[in-house]
Parts: sequence; C-alpha cells; structure tokens
Amino acid sequence: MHAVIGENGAGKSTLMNIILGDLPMDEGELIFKGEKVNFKSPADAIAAGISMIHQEITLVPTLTVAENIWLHRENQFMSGFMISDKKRNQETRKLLHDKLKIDLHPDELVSALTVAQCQLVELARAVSCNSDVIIMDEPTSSLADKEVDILFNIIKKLRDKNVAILFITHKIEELLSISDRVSVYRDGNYIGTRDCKDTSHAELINMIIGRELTDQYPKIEYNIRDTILEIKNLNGKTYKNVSFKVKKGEIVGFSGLVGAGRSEIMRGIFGIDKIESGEIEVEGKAVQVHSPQDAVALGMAMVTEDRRDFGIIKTASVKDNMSIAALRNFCSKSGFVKKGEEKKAVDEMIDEISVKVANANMLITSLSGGNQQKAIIGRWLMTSPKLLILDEPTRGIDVGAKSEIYSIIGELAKQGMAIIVVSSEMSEILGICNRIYVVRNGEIVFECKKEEANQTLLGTHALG
Amino acid sequence: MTRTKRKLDSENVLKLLMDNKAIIILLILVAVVSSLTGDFFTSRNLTNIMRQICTSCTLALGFTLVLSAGMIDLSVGYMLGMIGIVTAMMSVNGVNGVIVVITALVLGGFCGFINAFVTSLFDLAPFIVTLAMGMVYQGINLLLCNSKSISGLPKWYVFFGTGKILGIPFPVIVMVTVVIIMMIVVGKTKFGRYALACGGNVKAARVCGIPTQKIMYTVYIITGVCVGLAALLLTGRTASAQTGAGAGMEMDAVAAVVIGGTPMGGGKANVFGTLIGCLLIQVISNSLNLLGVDSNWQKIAKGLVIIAAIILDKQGEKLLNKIRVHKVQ
Repeated sequence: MHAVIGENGAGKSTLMNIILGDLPMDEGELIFKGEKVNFKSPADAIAAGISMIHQEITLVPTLTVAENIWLHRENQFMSGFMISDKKRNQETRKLLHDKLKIDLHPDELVSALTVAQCQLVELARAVSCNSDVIIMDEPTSSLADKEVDILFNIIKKLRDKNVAILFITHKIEELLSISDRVSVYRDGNYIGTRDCKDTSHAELINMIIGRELTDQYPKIEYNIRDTILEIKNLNGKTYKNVSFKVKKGEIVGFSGLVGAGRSEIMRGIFGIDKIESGEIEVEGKAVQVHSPQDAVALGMAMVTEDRRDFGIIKTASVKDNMSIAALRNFCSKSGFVKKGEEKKAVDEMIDEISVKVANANMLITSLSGGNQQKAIIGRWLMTSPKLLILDEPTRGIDVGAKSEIYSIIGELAKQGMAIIVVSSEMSEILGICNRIYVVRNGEIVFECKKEEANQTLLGTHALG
Repeated sequence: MTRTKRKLDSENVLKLLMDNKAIIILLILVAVVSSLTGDFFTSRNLTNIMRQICTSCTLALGFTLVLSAGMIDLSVGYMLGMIGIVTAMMSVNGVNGVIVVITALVLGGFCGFINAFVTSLFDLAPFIVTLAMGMVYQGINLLLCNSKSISGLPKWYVFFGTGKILGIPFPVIVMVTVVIIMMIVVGKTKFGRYALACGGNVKAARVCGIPTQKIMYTVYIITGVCVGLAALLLTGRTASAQTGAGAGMEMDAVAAVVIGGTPMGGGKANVFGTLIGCLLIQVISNSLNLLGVDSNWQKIAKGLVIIAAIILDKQGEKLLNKIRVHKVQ
C-alpha cells in the first residue's frame, strides 16, 4: 500500500489520471507487471488490471447496488436476451459479503445510501474487476471517522490479498496509520518517497510545503482602523461556532484545506447560502443577510471561488459584466441606463486595475482567466464596497496576473477597505495578509498575526 | 499586421451575418418566391402578411423576453385562447370596451404571475409548470365555451383586428409599438440588463445582488400582458372566440424567437430579430399558399426551415470560435 500526498494542485490527481490513460502523457514510460504500457483510455487500464476510485462518486443513483457494480459488464449474467437479476445478485452477495465483508443489500438503491456506503460500493466495483492495482483519490475526504475505519479495514484485507493500493490523501495522520510507503508531490514535482515507519509527521509536512516565499508579493502598508465586520457564533451545514472580526484596512486570510468550510462560511455571510444561526454585525450594528442583495446593500462584495458558475456572465460583454453589480448607480430614477456614464466608469475601472482588453464590448469569454478575474474584481470595486471578500482570487491564473491582483489588493487595503482572502495557497496567505485564521473541519482552529505565521505553523493546524 | 486585420474583419462579418441571419434567409426566400410567382409583391398580399403576423409577433415579443431571461413559458398559446374567450364574452354582454381591454391585460399579467409564483414557490422547472398551466387554460376554455364559438362581437372589438388608422392597420400599429417598447426595455433599462444577466447566469446574477426573484416575476407578468394584447388582436381579427384559438402558438413563438437570434439558453435578446422571425415563418406559409402547395406540406416546410436555422446558428458559432482561437494564437 502506497500513499501519495501533496497540497491542492500539486499534481497528484493529474498523475493518477495519466496512469489511468484519462490524460495523455507528454513523455516518460509506465511499467506495469514488468512491461511497458501506455493506456489510451481508462477502459484499457481496467482491462489490464488497474482501476481507480475517483474523488467524486460516480455511481448512478437511480440504479441498485448490484446494477451499479456490474454496470457495463452484464454479459456474464445474460440468460438469453435478459439480464438475470438472480445470478447478478448472487455474484454481488458473494463479492460484498464473503470477499469484502460489506453489509449491503444488492437490491438497495444507491440513492438511499450514505456517502460512505457509496464509497464502499465504488470499492466493490473496483475489486470486482479483479484489479491488481486500485487507485483511490481522496476516498476519506467526505467520510466521518467511524466510516474511515470501516474503509481502512477493507483496504487492509485487500492488501493482504496481494492487491496494490495507491492512496491519494491530504491527511498525514491517516496515511501514517495505514500506508506502507508514502510519496510526496509538490507543484507537479516528485519530492521523495519514505517508508511510513521511518518518517514523521513533521518531516512530511516539511516535504509537502517546503516552498520558499517568492517576491511576487508587494509590500503592503496596512492602514488599520475600527472593526467593520464581526461574526459571532455562525453555524451552518458545514461549519460551526465561527466567530471572527475584520477591521477596516485589514487583509484577513482564511487558510485551510479544500473542503474545510472556508468558502461555505463566506457564502453564508454574503447570503448566497442560508445560515442556521449566528450574528453578523456590520460597523457595530447587527444585520440580517438573507440574500446577496442584502449583503451588497450593506457595502459587501464577494468574488466567488467558482468564476464560471458564480462569476462571469458568459453571454455578456466585458462592459456589461463589470457594470452589472453597480448598475443602479448609472440609472435614472425611471430605470433607464445612462450608457455614457456607464461606459466612462467601466473604462476608468479597466484602466485602474489594468484589465487587458481591446474593447469593452468584447465578450468576457474572450479574455484570459486572469483578466476575467480582474474584470470581476473591477465589477465589485465599481460598487465602492467597504468589505471585499475574495475566495481563491488567484486560482488558475498565471503568475503575472497573480502579482497584479496582489498589488490591487494591497492598494485597496491602503485606501482603508477591509479585505478577506480565502486561499488554499499558503504562500499567498502569508504573502499578503496581516492576520490569518486557519479553518479545519468547519471550525476556526487557529488565529495569528502575519509576524508570527509561517508555513509549518499554518500547515500543522490545517492538517490537524 | 494585415493578417490579423483581415481575420478581425472576417470575425466581424461573420458575426454580423449570424446576428442577422433571419433577414438574410428572408431576403433569399422573398427573392425566390417573387421570381416564381408575380402574386407575392402585390400590396394586398404584403398587407395580408403584415396583418397575419401581428398576433404571433406580439406574443413572440413577450416570449423573447422570457427566453432571453433564461426561462420559458409554454402556457402562452392556451392563455391567449382563454383571454380571447373571456373578453369576447364580456364584450358580447355589453361590458364597456375600456374595461374589457384592461381585463385582457390584467388577466394576462395575472396568468404570468401565477406561472412565476408556482415555479418559484415550489422551486419547479418552468418548462413543466407552464406546460401544465397551458393544459389548465385549455380546460377552462372548453368549460367556458362549451365547444361553441362566441361571435357577434361589438364593432370596437372587431376594430382591434381589422381597423385602420391613417390607412395603417391597427394591429400593425400595436405590433410596431410593442416592438419599440420591448427594444427599449431590453436594451436601455436596468430591468432589461438584469433580465439578460439572469438569462446568462442566474447564479452569478444573484451573487451580484440582483433581485432574481423579482426579475422573474416581472418577466412573466410582462409576457402575460403581451399575451393579453395578442388575444385582443386575434379575437378582433377573427371576430369571434373559439376554444382552439391560440393552440400551438407557443411553438411558433419559440421558432420565431430562435430564428430571430435569441438563443434558447438565454442571456441575449434580439427583439427586432423576433419580428423578422415571425415574418419569415409567415412568408413561408404565404408563399407556399401562393404556389398552391398543400397546407400539410407547409407545416413540414416550417419545421425544416426552423431546423436549418438552428443548424446554421450552431455551425456559425463554431466557426466564430475557431476564428477567435486562431486570432488569439
């Protein structure tokens, strides 16, 4: 059993997809059972004996457990033109109960299963292919501790049956408890392999993070004044008892792993998702935020994590995309858009944050990712917000655009805007924020000032 | 340098062609038909075509708004029939004309409101909700009419369909007015911009602080009012109201709007294109009539033209993307 670990975007999943033939390799060779192989598609890999359990569940919810396990491989159960449910269920029962000791009924609908049970079905499917190698991409990310134990027991059984398991994870503790060896990846590079019994938690963290801060971050003059946002005991589906403060002129970072609940907290504060309980105070006054409309009226702005789904309006021009949030400022009382004023304001903003666009009437989709992101930031700056929330502001953006965005953020903070930055890139958080919160499993577990923070400290708290 | 310039031009030309493909198809069709028969370019035939598209175009204008805002309203056909019957009954029973007209518009708006209300309250797909509401209206029509048509409408009502002001047919005046209003609403107002934003990406629109629910209600209500207007025009033209009136018009509306350049997915609106789309569909029927083609074939021809228009749209878009990618490289 071999674990693969690394930060988000370190290239773990990509590597696995290449092994599986889902993505083409540029160069290098893959040796499987002593032979050089090159899978053209996952089907080839499965036929050769490598199967993969993806991060997201890939079962058909409207079919039963047995149907899902044997999907596309029903030939062995054919009697005439019909699939024999009886034969299939027998085989499934043999597989689930005898081989894997999973307590699931073959006729159960997948939609009725918990996430953990779905993972087990996926595992059973992989086993039923008689694979020699099973790749698991973060199988535990959505499981509770008890469910993880069940999964691990089954994995151990498989290992004893001479199945090789490649296990991708973020969680150091769990891999040390189960894996034999571990390989670390960072920024698409192979860092090293250790035997689990010879390595330590600390050594792995160092290998995972180990990156030096570069000078792509501008020197920021913080101009910190009174508190603008205070959150008290905020509770939601994926986070609990969240309390924090943000002051004018501050850049507050939220660090943590993907899925720790940082985005969900921000979405709750901004009214995109419902919060269950808790208080939000803006400039000392308790406020109710039921929708983003309320949040915008209170002077908040939020650049969401998912630019394609929640950010850009694909069918609209750069100008329309940028002016949409502040449109009421360019409207007459009767609701007509004053196009002259709108165009002037958009052009000024394009200059100010240097969005590279030939013509503001071009479709936003014709811009590069970095420029789209700048346009979205510009959209919000046009509303002159008091508080700007940036969720993964530089994800998928080239280095040049990144440092431009950092300068913009620095300039805004200097002018006294309060800024929250949610980011999975620790170096980014350390580079621009003056105060940092670390979120793990939906809770704020750590708070520190810029001066006290370093990668190891944040990493330790994020990984737990 | 010259290379990029030429490509820039080819992109713009293609885009222009794409945005106005309905006009181009229309012109080609007219050229072909008028060369085949001399009856096409008679003033009587042209007035006839204009008169015939008034109802469907007024309806389709509302539909343009719904589609561009990323929603759909399949109840408009039977809704039109219902409003026609209700107003016809009122007018036959001597209700004042002004009240009847107001009733038509308010009833249309109310039906739109119901569509929005049911859809948003229970978070349902507008496709199914409006389809079902259409069936409800169809049932109401049958109940009200008892499968007899209502005729003997007062003069003022017939005027809506056949009257003329300064020699211009009244329905044409109504239609052109609605086209202009709709162009202003979509192109120049905050509401129009918000509606298009909702059509382009409703999640992003909500994050921007746009009151998406309110926009949805307004869009459906405006559509309903357009249906009310169209009902007055149609009932006035036929001088009677029947249960079957309006049936299937929602599909003609979809066709006209999409041919006109408003995408099914929303986010863009081409109000003028809708007018052209309606014209195109009517010219197809009309020219086949003039050429003495069986009316059953007309339907087939209509369907094929719509498919051709959509294929053209898709292929043009692909070509446009290719040119853009080329340019970036």
